[in-house]
Amino acid sequence: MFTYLAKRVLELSVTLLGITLLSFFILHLAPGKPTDVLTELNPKITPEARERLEKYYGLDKPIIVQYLNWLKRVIRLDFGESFSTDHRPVWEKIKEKIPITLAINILSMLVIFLIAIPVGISSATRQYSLYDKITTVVVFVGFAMPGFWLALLLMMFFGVKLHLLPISGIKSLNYDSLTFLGKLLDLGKHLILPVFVSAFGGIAGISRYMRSSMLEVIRQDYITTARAKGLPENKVIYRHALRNALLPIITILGLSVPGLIGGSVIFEQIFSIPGMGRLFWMSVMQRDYPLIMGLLTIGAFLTLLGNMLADLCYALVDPRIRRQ
Amino acid sequence: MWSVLVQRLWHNRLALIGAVLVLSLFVVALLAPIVAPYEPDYIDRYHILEPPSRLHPLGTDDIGRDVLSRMLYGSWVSLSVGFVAVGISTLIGIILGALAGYYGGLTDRVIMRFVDVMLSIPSFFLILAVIAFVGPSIWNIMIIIGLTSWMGVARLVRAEFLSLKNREFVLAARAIGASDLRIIFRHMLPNSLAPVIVNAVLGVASAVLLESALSFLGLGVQPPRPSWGNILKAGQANIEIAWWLSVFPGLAILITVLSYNLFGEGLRDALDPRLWERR
Repeated sequence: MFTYLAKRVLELSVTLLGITLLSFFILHLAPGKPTDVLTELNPKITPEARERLEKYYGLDKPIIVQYLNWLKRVIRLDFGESFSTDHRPVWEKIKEKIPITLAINILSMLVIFLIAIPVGISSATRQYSLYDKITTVVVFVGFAMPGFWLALLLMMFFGVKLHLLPISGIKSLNYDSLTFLGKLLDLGKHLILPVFVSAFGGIAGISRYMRSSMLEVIRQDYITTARAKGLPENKVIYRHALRNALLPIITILGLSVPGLIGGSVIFEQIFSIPGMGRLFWMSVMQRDYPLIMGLLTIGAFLTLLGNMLADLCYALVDPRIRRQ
Repeated sequence: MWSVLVQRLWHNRLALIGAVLVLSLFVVALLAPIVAPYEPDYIDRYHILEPPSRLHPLGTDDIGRDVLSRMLYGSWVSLSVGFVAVGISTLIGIILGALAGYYGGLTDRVIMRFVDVMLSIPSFFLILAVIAFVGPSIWNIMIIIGLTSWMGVARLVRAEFLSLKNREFVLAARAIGASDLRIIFRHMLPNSLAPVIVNAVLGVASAVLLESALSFLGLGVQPPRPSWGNILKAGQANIEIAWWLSVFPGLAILITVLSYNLFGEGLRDALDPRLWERR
C-alpha cells in the first residue's frame, strides 16, 4: 500500500509539472504580452518604461528561463503579485477563495452520490420497467441541459416568482447579526441552488454509469450463485452486487473533478459567489497574468488530488490493485 | 454496410428522431435569412423588452431586437462552432492515437502522458485563459475548443489500434512491404472509425454546450453577432422582467444537444455488431 501511495504521489507531481509547463508556454506564446494590460491604457507609458516593466517581470529572458524562475518561486507558494489595482500576493487572493469553492464542490459530490447511486441501482434492478424508461428519458434531458440555463430557470422560479430562495451571494445583508443557527440556515438557503445546479449534470451521468455497471454485475456467475443458495434479493443486490458495481463509479467520480472545478466559473458567476471560479473569471477579464497562472496551477492541483483520492478509495476497496 | 446501417438506424426510433432533428437544424440554419421575420440587428425602438406577441413571436430583447430572428441567425453559430471544433479535435485525436497505438513503446508513453496532463487541467479554465489572451471571436473559439477536446478520440483510436496491430490483415500488409503510413491510414484507420464517428457526433453536442457557456460569460461570440449564449446573457441581466429572453434560447440549446446525443447513441448501437442479433 505504501509503495502504491508513493508511486501515485510521484505521478501526481510529474503530471502537475507537465500542466504548469504547458499552461506557461501556451500563455506566453499566445499573442499579447502579460504587461499589455498595464501599458495599453496608460497614455504616459514610454518605450523605455515598457522595457523596464518587462525587465522587472523578467519577460526579456528566454521563455524556459522565465518558467524555471517562476517554478522556483512557486515551490515556496509564491505566485507573485496580482496585476490588479490592489497588488496583493496572488496566493493570498486564492487562499481566501478556496474554502467556498471546495465546500460547494464537495457538497455537490455528496448530492450526486446520494441521488445518482440509488437511482442507478433501482433502474438497473427494474430494467425496462416504466420507472427505468422514465429515468432514462430524464437522464438524456439532463445530459443535454446547459447548467447555466438550469440555473437561470431555477432563479426565475424559486427566486423571482416564489421569493423562496435568494438568487445571489452566499450570505444575506444581516448575516452578522444572526444567531449561529440562523447563520447556518442563511448559508444553506443561499447554497441550495448553486449546489443543486452544479450537481445536476453529475447526477445524470453517474446514475447512467451506475445503471450499466450494476447491470453488468448482476449477470455475473457469483450473483446467480447467491440467488441459487436462496439469499433474499435485497441481500444479493446490496451485499454482493453493490460493492463490485461501485468500483468503476469511484474512478468516474474522480474524473468528474475537473468538470466540477471548471464549471464553478459559470455557477459562481451566475450566483455571484465569491469563490475561485469568479476570481478566475475576473482575472481573465483583466488579463491578470500572475493570478491566471496561479489559479490554473491550484485548479490542476485540486483536480489531481481528487483523482488521487479516487484511486486511493479504489485501492482500499479492491485488493487486486493494492497488491500490484 | 451502409444499407445495413441505415436499416438499423431506421429501427431505432429515438436515433431516428435525433437524426431528423439534426437535419432540420441544418435546414433552419441555412434558411435563416429567408424565414427570419427581421434582420438580426434590426432595432424596433417602440418595442423594447416586449413579451411574445404577433409582431415578435418570441418577444424582443433589451434594445428592441427580435428574439426569434436572432435565434435563427444564431443557430448558424452553434452548428459551425460544433462542426469545426470537432473536426479539429478528431483530426488531432486520430493522429496522436494512431501514433501511440501503432508504434507503442516510448512514443506511446509520451503521448499518453500528454493526454493525462490535458485531462487533468480543468479545461474550462484553460479555454478561458487562452481566450483572454487571443481575444474572443468565433474562429478562436472553434480552434480552442478543438485543441482542448481531442483526448477522448486519441484514447479510442489508440485502443482500437492496439487490438488491430497484430491482426492478420495488418501483418499481411506489412509482409508485402507496405509503408507505415499506408498501413495506418489505408488498413487500420478505416477499421477503427466506427467509435470515432460516434464520438464525433457526441462531441458536436458538447462543443455546442461549451460555446453557449462561453458566449454566456461574454467570452464567446461577441455582440452584435447573435448566438444563443449571448442572448441568454441578456436574459440573465433582465431575469426579473423578461422570462422569454432566458427560456427560448436555452430551449434551443437543449433541443440541439439532445438531438445530437440521441443520434450519436443510436449510431453507436447501429454500428455495434454485438447488438445486431439481439432485437
